Amino acid sequence: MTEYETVVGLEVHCELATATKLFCGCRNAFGEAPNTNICPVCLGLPGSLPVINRRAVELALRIGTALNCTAQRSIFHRKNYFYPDMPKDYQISQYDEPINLGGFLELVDGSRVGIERAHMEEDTGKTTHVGGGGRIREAGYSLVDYNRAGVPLVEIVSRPDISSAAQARAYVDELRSILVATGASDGRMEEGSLRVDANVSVRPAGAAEYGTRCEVKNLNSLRSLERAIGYEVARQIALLESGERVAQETRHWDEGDGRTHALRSKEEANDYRYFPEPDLAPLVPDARLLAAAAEGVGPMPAERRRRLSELLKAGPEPAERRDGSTTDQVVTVVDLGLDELVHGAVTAGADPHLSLARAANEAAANPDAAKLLDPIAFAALLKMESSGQLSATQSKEVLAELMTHGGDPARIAASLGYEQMDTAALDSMVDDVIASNPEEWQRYRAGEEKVAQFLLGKVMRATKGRANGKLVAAAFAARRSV
Amino acid sequence: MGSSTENSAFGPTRNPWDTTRVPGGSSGGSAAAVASGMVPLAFGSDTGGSIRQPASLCGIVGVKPTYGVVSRYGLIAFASSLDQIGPFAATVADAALGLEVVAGHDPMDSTSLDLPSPQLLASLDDGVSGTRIGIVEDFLSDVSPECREAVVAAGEALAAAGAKVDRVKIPELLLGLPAYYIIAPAEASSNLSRYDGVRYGLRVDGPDAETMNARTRGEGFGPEVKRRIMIGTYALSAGYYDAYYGQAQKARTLVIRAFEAAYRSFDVLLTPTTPSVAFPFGSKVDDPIQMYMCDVCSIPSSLAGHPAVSVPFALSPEGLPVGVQVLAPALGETVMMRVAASLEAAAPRQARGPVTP
Ligand SMILES: [Zn+2]
Repeated sequence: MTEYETVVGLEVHCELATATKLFCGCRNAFGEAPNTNICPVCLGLPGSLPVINRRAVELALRIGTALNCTAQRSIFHRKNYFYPDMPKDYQISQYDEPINLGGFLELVDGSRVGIERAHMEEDTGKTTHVGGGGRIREAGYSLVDYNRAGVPLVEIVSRPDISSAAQARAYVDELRSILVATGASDGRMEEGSLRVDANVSVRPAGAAEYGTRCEVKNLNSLRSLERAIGYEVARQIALLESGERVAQETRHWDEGDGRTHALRSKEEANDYRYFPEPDLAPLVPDARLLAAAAEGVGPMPAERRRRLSELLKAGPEPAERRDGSTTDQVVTVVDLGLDELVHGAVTAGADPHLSLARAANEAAANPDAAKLLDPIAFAALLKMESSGQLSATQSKEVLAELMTHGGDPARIAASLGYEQMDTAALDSMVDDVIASNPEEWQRYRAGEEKVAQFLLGKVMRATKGRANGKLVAAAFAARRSV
Repeated sequence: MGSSTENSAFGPTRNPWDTTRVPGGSSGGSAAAVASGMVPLAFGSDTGGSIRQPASLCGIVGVKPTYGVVSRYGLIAFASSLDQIGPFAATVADAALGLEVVAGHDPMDSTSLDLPSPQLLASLDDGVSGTRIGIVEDFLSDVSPECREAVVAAGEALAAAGAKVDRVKIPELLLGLPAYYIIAPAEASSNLSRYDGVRYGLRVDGPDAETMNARTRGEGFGPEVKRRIMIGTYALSAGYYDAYYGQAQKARTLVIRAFEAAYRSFDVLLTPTTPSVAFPFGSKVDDPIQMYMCDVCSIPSSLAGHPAVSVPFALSPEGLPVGVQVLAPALGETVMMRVAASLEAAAPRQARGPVTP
């Protein structure tokens, strides 16, 4: 069998998190009663005219900056088609002169996906076809909600650089965190804030020419994106292997049966008759707008992950693996925006690996509260844990309290009764346990490591969890080697 | 749409000077209302001459301002890059006053110029001494004798008033008409899409959405509108865009450059407003090309976004009014209206409305 390679390009539509729509003052809000956020402009009343939303332009420029694109003078075009989701029967979009051109996105694994363009356009209204299997032609009647008509979108078009379903998923995941980090979008796929179409083709490995591509629509989650591409690749390979051709067409992903189905072929595709929108002036981003956009874009997730990894290199490798791999922890912490907390704690003297682990696990359970954590207090707590003053269990309890009510970690520890056990008391406790469990002690001395947990448990029970597990384990180990 | 009001859904308007003749169009109703003395001032929309042409045929003053001087918000769009609102009046002073009132920046129209309203009346009577005026020769050959003679006489009158009058050839302006009849229908085909029976326009039901759309548009639009929608749709279609719409935009640029060159030597230009006086009903309605030719003199300044005014200046042998057109560069309304006022002062009173039908 021929070996094939997968070629995927993605088109991601991102709804911008503006207060108002792209060309009018209507509220940009999700989930409100149908046709309540509408006005003459977004309803296309004869005589109404569009006026561009400055904030939307700024957010579009932010996205461009974050994706390493070049901002340029752009113009809007009309995309003409008859369908009731746009009351004007055309959509105002950008065509051959988009606001952001060229760029790239760096994924978690270090691979780069090229960005063709990131252009602005208005969203359409939402149609519901009742009866006839949900298609307009067979429907008994159709309902239209124009609340979404005119909501600002940025469409991010990748280059066909993606070579697997998993990479496609990683790309959208990374793009999502960038869009959230820039404040351009809330990134909610389930609410349609982020919508993905995939152009999928296969070709014999090493071939210079691209294969015929299909556009796959209705990808409502990262999971369906990955599944749909996987299915489509297998379908196209099967066609080629059986000597057939892949037809260029739009295909609809069906989550239920796990297949893609042909929607319309290229031959019957719409001719959108694009032409420059005469109601809008060209968009020339002035220095003030570019500065505002640049200001809104901090370091991107890839850069922040790098910085966090650098920080970990500085500290000693942890003796044992804490919960989860370091890479996963770095991704989680950056994703939740807790990397500044970790940097702050390390600057204040906390152990880098411990800071990361507590941020990625315990703090991550409540990211909103964690973002408000004082890094100095967080560091103080971690130092108490590192020095053995608090056990891991105790430290987590104190952290939970610190996140809900704030305060001084030492005082919280005291109020929870986590007094530091003095070494003498701990030593006699360890000796007591050895004395009353001679059989287990002998097995432990003979090298049976799993008995250590049993002995440790005895001490912990006797101290009602106040003892530091690490110190207790060390005490047993010391007595064994005598 | 069109130059005669014969395509109006509400029936034709009659010319108050001779009710067997057209008033010009498409804003012929506004022109006839002023010309018959029903109102002292009216507004119309001018895309390729729809104010100036009926003003000329009805013996009144009609102004198309610089594109962006008057807000288009609220105007039902025909060809958005060309449409402008302007006044009709019996006198230049009334028209100037009307324009001063409606001009100015509107934040609801992105193409509205962020400038204060022009001060026209203050200098209206300052005369034309030293003003450089160019008579565009290219528009003197294919027009009727009375229209040609009116322009020549207007030039003489202005020279007598102290202006420096000369002839100028600007052959690129003749590219205006074919370019316009691509660009305007292209934009119109898009602007008129919304009258599909879903939210706007007449609705004729059908078994499915597509049939409903088709029936609605088949019955809702008259033949001239359908013709323009088809021309415009064709001109924008994949595979034809470059040959038609793209080419028309290039011609538009040539017209603008030719004007720029001419305005280095002249303050204003003088042309006939129309190739003929008011014609009888039915004489051109079956010949769209003849009808489109009515706009040949008025279209170039529309394509350039420049201001132009038609002033009644003479009477034809049949006793019908003949207008002359004064063209100015962008935002040249002040000098343009001053020249118009001088022409008005030199014109016979009988050439100007209102008249009693
Ligand atoms: Zn609105």
